[in-house]
Amino acid sequence: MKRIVALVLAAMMVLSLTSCQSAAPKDEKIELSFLVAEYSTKTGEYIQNVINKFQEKNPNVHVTLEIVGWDNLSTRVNTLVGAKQAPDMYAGGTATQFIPDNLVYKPEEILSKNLCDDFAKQFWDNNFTTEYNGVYQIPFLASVRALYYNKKIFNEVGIAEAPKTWKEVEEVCQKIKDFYKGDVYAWGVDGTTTEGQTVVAYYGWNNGGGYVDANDNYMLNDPKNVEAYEWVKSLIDKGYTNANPTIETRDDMQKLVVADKMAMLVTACFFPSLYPDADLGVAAIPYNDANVSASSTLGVQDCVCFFNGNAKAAEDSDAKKKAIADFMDFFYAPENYVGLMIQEGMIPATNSGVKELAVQKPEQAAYVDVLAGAKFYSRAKSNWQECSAGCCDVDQKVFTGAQSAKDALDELQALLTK
Amino acid sequence: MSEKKAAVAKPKKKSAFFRNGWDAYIWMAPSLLLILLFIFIPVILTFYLAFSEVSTAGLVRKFGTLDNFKFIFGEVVFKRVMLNTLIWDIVIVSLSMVLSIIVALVLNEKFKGRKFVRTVLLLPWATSGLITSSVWKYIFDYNYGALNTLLMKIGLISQPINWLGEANSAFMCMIFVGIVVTIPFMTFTLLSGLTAISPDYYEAAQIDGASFWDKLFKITLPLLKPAIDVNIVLNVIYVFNSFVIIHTITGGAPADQTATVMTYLYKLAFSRNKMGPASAVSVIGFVILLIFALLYMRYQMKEETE
Repeated sequence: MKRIVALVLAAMMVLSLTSCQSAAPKDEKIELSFLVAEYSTKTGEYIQNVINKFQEKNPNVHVTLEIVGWDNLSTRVNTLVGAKQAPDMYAGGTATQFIPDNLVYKPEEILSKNLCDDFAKQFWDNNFTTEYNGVYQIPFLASVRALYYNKKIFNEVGIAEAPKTWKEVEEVCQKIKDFYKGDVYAWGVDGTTTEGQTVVAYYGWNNGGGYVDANDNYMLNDPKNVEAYEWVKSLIDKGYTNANPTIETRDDMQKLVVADKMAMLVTACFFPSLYPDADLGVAAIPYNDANVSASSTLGVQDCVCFFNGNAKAAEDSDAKKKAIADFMDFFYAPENYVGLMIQEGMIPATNSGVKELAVQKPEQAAYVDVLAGAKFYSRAKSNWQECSAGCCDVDQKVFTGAQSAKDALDELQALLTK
Repeated sequence: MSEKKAAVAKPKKKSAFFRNGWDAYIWMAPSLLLILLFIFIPVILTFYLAFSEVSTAGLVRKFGTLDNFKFIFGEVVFKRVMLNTLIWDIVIVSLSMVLSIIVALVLNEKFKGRKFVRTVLLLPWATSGLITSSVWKYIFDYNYGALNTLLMKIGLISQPINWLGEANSAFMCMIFVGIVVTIPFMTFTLLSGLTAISPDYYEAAQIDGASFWDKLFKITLPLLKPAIDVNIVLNVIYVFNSFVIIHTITGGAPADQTATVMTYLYKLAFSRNKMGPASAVSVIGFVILLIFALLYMRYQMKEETE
């Protein structure tokens, strides 16, 4: 008798568990986590509103948003990955460092085809990594760099237009230096760890150099890069630039431009949105017409990646993967996505977003054309962070005169290719 | 009879557990647990990472390798970082000690407003290191800095000085900030040592006609020695591990020329994404401090024996 009772009880237990499982997909509350870099103090508020709207339409999905400042972003993500608590979606950084350990999905594995097809081709292609033969992240947003100048200073000195070539830069800088007797910096250089890696982009590309060659191999010690560094050093030595290029950041110098203490600065396209009252002119980044025929600019894209089960406590269910895809479709819908781009002064990475931006804010959409001809960092290379930090070190060694440009770049090239 | 029995009853014996002093461990358990969780385990993990091959995502691929140490000793800048750390530690601790003794002696005297001065002195110590460092960064700033403005207004300089523009001057500026931040804690621990010295010694010395210097070198400093010793040990470790001043003011720039062990390992871990070598640097720092602590303990034991 006891055996029969036990058998019945066991059967009931199995049945009840089975029924729970089959009911799960229908009633299951799906939890998603979304970690985003803090672009401004309003970033969190905006994205939370988008999440709220999504949750209204999808009551079985709950999205937890975490906004992290740039200084702590990589630490926070690495900690979460190490603890197997990686967020489902991570926006702002790069997936490159997580590819070797197979911690991230390829976007096609998890997102809708419509969304993947909507991203601008140049962004998508830039995310292709030859080392791991694929794309592992999608673009979140983009910015483009340009030469900004203080119109008041230009008017006072009598400069009609922004310099186009390196030779013109030197002439304009000398005029400004003579006029203000050194009280106003003519040209801003950022060799800090904030933006030091841009020196190769701003000056190397505009002299025919760059980070990588056509085969995606590092070419930091290319003679064109050496020449570019030597040219920047000559600007510093002639007293055209800010006093401390190795500790004065882009943010510090933007304040100097706005305060009429600096005439020209190559910086990001969101600069005017930070200081809407400033009277700023914008032009292409000057180039060395002895070596190249046109200006190159730097496009910077921040990315979104999706951690897979290897970085979490458990594998994702199909329902969860679908919820991620749905949320991303909703987030990148122009009516949700473009408002964030306008708020942060950024450029949308989707074709539909660009169209919407042209309607809502044409002056910001003008940067889209500039971006079309832009080059990007080689962030898809797995040791890009080492390259980026190494470029900052080269800046600091060269600009302080501690080492020649050739020696410093040779050392960096050796470090990256050993 | 029963009264008699009670009178001869032996006192109740302590259980073996309490007799052996094991109860002490129960009282210490919460602290030991916290130390285990927040100090011991992270130290063990740091050693583990230092001897492991760590991926760019921070995951361990292989344990039992010296590659991280080989990498660190192959870094050209590592020698400079170690030298900076040595200078940083010795100069800040020694100068702070001398100045703190002077300040403590002054504050030990009775004068009007002593309480106010003592409170003001505490401020740099009580304020967050990040705020203090940021304020000092702006004070030294070439473009807007208060120091240059002040010096120019009183006519000491005609052109602003680029305090943070060159590695050596920037490092000296940060050492100055380090001293300013270290003095309050040192002063207050020395003050408590000074107040513990009996006034009888000074009265007796006064009667014998001792000068100020006699009293300082023959009474005050010898009796203050325990407080000085504790201060040296604590501050050598504290200053060695200090991070926020350099990180905020120069970030180790230019090219790690003003970096110390702490800022260098931070850069390795979070800018260059090299968690293994960063852990190796951490282990090297730990071993240096351990050797210092062991030498100090040996010296103390020798002193006590003598």
